[in-house]
Amino acid sequence: MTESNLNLIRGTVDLLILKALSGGERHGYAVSEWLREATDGTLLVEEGTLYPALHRLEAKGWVEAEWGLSDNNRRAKYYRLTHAGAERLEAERRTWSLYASAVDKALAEDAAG
Amino acid sequence: MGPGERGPRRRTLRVRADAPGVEAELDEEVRFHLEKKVEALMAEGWSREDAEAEAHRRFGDVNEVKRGMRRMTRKKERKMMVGGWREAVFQDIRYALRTLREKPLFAVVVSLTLALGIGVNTAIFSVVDGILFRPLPFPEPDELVVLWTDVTARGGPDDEWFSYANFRDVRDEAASLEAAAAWGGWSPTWTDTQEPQQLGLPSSRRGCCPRCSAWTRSRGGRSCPRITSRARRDGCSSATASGSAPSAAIPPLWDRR
Repeated sequence: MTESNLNLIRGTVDLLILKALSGGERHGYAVSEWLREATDGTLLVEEGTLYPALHRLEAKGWVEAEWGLSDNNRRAKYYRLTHAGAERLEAERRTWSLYASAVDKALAEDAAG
Repeated sequence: MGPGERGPRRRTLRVRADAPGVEAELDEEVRFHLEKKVEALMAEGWSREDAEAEAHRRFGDVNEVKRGMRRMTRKKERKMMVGGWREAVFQDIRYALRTLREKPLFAVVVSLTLALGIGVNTAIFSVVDGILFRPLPFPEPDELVVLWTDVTARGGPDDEWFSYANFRDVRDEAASLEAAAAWGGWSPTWTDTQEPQQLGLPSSRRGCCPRCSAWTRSRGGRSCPRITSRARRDGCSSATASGSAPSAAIPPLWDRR
């Protein structure tokens, strides 16, 4: 498994975390694992970014957290998308699509002349 | 004050994010992550020691991460405290309504007390508003004057009522007045051998505004020049325009006697 060689563009962390939680509740470690697998190891959300972001999303009401038992009966904090979080995910996804395709288009244009 | 006395008190005043429970949860969340990471690395063939070192290396500064989490948690706590305050207010309102429902007599007394208080306040304000705050309904209310007859030379008071004749002189000839109006509120009672009889001012019945009893006439011939629209509506315009003295209206009394 390769280490991250890309720094996350600021602002996409929330989008990716919301996406990671859209499949059901996950604890922080599972979120980071999912992100790594989903991007084939290209993107790594560092823990120092991931956990404060999870708590920030919780403070904004986009995710809610609950303590539960993981494998081996260990207590873990599980995060779950709220209704507002799901709406936010859709909105951010659209914004990102527009942004990415605009950048792609600009890069594909011939800049000469 | 001993050093031991400050600690607990200060802690209770702090935001709840610093409370032991929250701090323990942050620790537990981070510890869980590190343990999972160590397990994953060991599954890849790392030794436990190396795996733990690597997990910590990748995690970064634990205290820094926890600081970030704590900051966000505090934000959330603040929001919840506002929510809790709102909840407390609603709870109080619900409690009050429940009490009122369970004790109807108390509810009635409370309602009447409030109603009386509000009513009295409204009444007082209405009076104060009408008397003190609102200007009189004339074009230049600050130029209104009230005239009295000074009869001290004949041993009377200096604020005697005008006779009608004097009023007419003032109305028609006083150059310093734009217009003049009179009112009469004198209502003597006639007693002789027969039954006492209240005379009132016949003119206030017949000739003029029954509400304000004003006899008015402008010098220019228009009636009620600057009197309220209410007085005009009430019939002041007919007033004493005929020029006949109001006392002339008294004869019916003599007829009756």
